[in-house]
Amino acid sequence: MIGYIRDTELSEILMVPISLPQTEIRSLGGPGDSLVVSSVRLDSNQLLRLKWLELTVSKISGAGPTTKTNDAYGFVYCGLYSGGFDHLNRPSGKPLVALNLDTPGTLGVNPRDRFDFSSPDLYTIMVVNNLLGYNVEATVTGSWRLYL
Amino acid sequence: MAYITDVELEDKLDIPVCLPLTEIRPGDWLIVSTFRIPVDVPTLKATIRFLQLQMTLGATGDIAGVSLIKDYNVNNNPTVGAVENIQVMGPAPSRIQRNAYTPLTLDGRNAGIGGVYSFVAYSQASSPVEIAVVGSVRIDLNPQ
Repeated sequence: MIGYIRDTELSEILMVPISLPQTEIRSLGGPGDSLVVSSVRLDSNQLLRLKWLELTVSKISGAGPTTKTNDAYGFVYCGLYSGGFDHLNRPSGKPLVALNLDTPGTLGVNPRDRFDFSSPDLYTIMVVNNLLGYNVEATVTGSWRLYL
Repeated sequence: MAYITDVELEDKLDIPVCLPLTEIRPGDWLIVSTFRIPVDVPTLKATIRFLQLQMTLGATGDIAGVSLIKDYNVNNNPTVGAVENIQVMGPAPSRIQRNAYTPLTLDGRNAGIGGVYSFVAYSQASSPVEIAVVGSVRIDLNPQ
């Protein structure tokens, strides 16, 4: 059903930023590091919607063969994680949404798609250097929409 | 004045442009935020109104800026070919904000607009500067 938005409804629709300026994610001789970019704790009767998420890789630097820590993903990937995400042993589990890049460039989810989440949980956007012995530089830009 | 429907609101997104206070060395630059106007989604429209640059460390004559560049090559000078460019000059503290009442619109329905747009913060100073950038991009997935 299509309805008009009233100010009380608008006040319960929040745009939550996902923003990581260009940042070097290092690999100090072992698996590459990862960074939490944004996270939202969703309570019951709330809705979390992701329509915009972009990963830009501006630099991949290192020497020797490129060996991935997790063969299922790109050299650099940005993932949306939910339950089971372990902040101590990140990254862990399988991301619900993943953007994978093997070369410098920009990749985003299709803005015509949307990813809705309504199960109470902690939802986290993380960017991962998936290479052994390589440093990467990445930028992540996006926006959640949280319906209270 | 027209009302807005929930469907119309659904097609409007605000994308952040956010660089917390960061030291940038002379001649260096970094990408703050990116957004794509995909060639295969040609109806997408982006509007930039609010963009602010603040310098908290910088000597007299030091220049820092933030530019918006289409299809930016990280090996290129971040001021060449900029769609938008704002600059501050030292001494710090110094701040500049683009005029929010003159929106910059990038409409994907027009030829040649599609591409990847990057906000790039840069320094043209002779000594390290500290700057912060904040702004937003309004994305309209179904412009009228």
